[in-house]
Amino acid sequence: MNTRREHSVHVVLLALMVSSSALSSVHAQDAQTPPLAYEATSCVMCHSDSDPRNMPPSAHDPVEHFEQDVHRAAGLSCHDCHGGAPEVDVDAPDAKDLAHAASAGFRGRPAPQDVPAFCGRCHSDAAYMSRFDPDVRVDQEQLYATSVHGQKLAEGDVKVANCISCHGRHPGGEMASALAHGITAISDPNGPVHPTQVATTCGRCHSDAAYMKEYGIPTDQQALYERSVHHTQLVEKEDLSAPTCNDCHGNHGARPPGVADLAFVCGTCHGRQAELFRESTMATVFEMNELGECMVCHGNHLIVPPSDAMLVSQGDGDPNEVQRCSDCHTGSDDTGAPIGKAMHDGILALDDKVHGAEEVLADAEAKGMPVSEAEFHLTGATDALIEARVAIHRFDPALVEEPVARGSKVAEEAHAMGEAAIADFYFRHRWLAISLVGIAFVIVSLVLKVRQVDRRLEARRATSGGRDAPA
Amino acid sequence: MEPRSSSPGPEPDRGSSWGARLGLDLFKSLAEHKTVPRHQHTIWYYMGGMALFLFMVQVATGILLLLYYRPSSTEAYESVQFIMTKVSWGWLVRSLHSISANLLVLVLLVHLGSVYFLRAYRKPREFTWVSGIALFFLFLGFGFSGYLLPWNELAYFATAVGTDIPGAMPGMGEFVVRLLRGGPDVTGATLSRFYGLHVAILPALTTVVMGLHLYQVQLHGMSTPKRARIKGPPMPFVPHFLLRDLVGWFAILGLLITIIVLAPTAPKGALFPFDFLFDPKHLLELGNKADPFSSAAAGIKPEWYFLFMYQALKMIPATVLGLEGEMLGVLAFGVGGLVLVLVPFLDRGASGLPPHPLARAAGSAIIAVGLALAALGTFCMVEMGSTLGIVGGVIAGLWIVVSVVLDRRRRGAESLLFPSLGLLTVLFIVAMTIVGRLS
Repeated sequence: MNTRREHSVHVVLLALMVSSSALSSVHAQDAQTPPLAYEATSCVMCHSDSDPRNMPPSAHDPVEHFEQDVHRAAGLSCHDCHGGAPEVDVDAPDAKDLAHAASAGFRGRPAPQDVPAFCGRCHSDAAYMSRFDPDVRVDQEQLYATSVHGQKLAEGDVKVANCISCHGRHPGGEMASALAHGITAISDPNGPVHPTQVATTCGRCHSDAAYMKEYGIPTDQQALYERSVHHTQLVEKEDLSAPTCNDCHGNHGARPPGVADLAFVCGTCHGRQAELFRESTMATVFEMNELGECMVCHGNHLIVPPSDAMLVSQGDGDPNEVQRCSDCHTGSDDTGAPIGKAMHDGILALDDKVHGAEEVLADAEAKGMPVSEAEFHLTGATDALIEARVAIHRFDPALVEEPVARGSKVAEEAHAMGEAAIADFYFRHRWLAISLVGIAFVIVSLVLKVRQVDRRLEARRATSGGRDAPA
Repeated sequence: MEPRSSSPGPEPDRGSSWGARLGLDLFKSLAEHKTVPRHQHTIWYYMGGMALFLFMVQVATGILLLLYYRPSSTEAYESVQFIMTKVSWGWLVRSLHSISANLLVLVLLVHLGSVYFLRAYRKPREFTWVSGIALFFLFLGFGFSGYLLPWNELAYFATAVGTDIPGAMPGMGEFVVRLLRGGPDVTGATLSRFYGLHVAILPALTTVVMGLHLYQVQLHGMSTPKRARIKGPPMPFVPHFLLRDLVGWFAILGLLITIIVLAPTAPKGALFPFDFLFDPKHLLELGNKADPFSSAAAGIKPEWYFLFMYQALKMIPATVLGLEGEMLGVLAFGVGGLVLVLVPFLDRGASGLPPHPLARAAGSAIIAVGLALAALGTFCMVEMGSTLGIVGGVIAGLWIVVSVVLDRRRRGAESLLFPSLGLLTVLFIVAMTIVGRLS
């Protein structure tokens, strides 16, 4: 009986402890007032309602796509962009009106021309954005206003790209809600603004001839770019420093570079070439004739790997392919073609020497000879070759001659080192053969000597009656 | 008055020849009286001389390398590169040093095995065996310390792994690791220590122990297995045996220079099936300079003669019966080394009998399992290694059992110690492999 009573007391005490602990935690929650969980907001609850009488299926898209959105990952919720009252009772008959009330700051879905300002509400606010990333840029909206896209949008052209056109994920369809609620991080390799995806993203509009018809600009940029050395480097060789559309045109402030700006644009990466070109007499002539600097010889979207042959041979007439010196310098009294040929011959001679040395060193290495020092020495020649190829951009043969002469000397030295290594290889084999003959001779002599001393020992043992006898 | 002479008397006549004056007559007398038994196992006697020759090559080439080698982490690699490319015949000297060091360990293993299987360690040659084993360990020390000296990538990381192993020893592991490395990590301080070990400490110890070993050999002569088929009266050491020794020495010299010149261009697998153990091309190539801040390159493994230990430690599970697996492995190898030293004192069976079949089988099985582990260590394929480890272990175990069953000539009360140890080793490896695979 006592045991049962003790048991009942224990149960009551335990229940009291549990209730008091639960009550204290509720008080603690009240004091802290934690933010409303995303899933508990009235926005999500209504827009996830599977009953088509309450919510049409298309209204589910925002919630569905927002699951993968970078803003969702950052802890934002629907009302952070759209405003409204996320805490209304969804069972109330006027729930929608309460949630979407203007008095609650509801902004709804922005019209295309309002999108930059809609996004810029946060993205132009340095104080707010620094909560997520202290180094984040906040000039996108400002830059966008200067872009061709921004200017046309301001003029009322809603076909041009706004923020969500480029930053929203394209899961197959082109629905605005899908784009707007599927914003990805810039670093997301599958996101539309990752360097490897940018050409496709821009091409979605710029390669669509029907869509671009009214603007009167070409629509082959993406196709040309995808054949270029830049695309190969970026996509096939996974070199994220290789340029894509926005590296030359800008991203938020996208616009086509002016003719006179091209050397500066290309020069952001190809600095030495641009510097030499601007120092050359050609820069003035190009400017006078309104020719597009780098683009005249190398093209723009289709930039094929340059070759030494550009300095001499005739082009094939394709305006998208590279231009050769002789394509323009055609006259018999034109000094341009001989200058091109002089630079070409010097570079070709150095190239031959470098390749010759590389072949000899590879042969020596295949023979097991240590040639790392010679290989390192040869890098001086390959560096000089690159220097000479860069130097042509001033169109001054004297500037090309110096690295050619220096590189040729180094290449010849490396070649000689390789030949010495090969000669040493054959010397070692001859030495081995001679040594083995010598060793074989010594071994045969020793074997004969062994037989001789054995015979003598047996003879001594025979004469001494089987007793051992000293040698 | 005549001055008193302080001389105690006339000096003894030391002879008129230089040999007598220099005391060389003693050696001459020893050489004249030393003989070598002739029977079907005589060929194994040449292994000692072969090892001595390779040791002399090591000393000669080592002294030459000392003239150019610089023992610092900033210069070691470059100095070896300089020796290989700039110094006249430097490539030959360094390659001879490297290849002959490996052949020396191989010859020592054969020498050790032949003495074990011929039971040449038994009374009165116990200390010949002990000094021989000490020499073997010293040469392993030469190999381990010399491996780091080129300061290349492979050597650096292999030494880092190798010097980490004693850390598993209970109680003193940390101290031993710091003692070996000269700090917590493999650095220039480790290189200085290994250089000191390689060119001063180990040579000094080796000189003493080798003197003792040769003295013991001279004192007790060469052991003749009792049941060996005698092929005639013993041959004089000088010149009969020495001339034969010289034939072997010149032959191995020819082999050495052939490997050195041809190995760099040898096609892959040219030494099949031994290429997995002994890769001369790999021994001669310097590779990249050691960079302590880089991640370990793929395929890092120790010298071939440490592979069995490396692989066994890799295959032991992290914990065995609640104890740290690596510690157990290190202790097992420590006990194994001790047993090897104490072989003559443990094997006290009747002398004059041929080796017990179990002892013979145990020795063979240990060699087989060692080779299998070394092969697995080379292949670095854990899954395949586990399978081969189990299969190899089971075959080795069956080998022991079958050899005992088939043997009908057992005589005398032979000790079961060696077969038991061999069997336990095999069972240990099989068990560790199975546990490792299951875990």
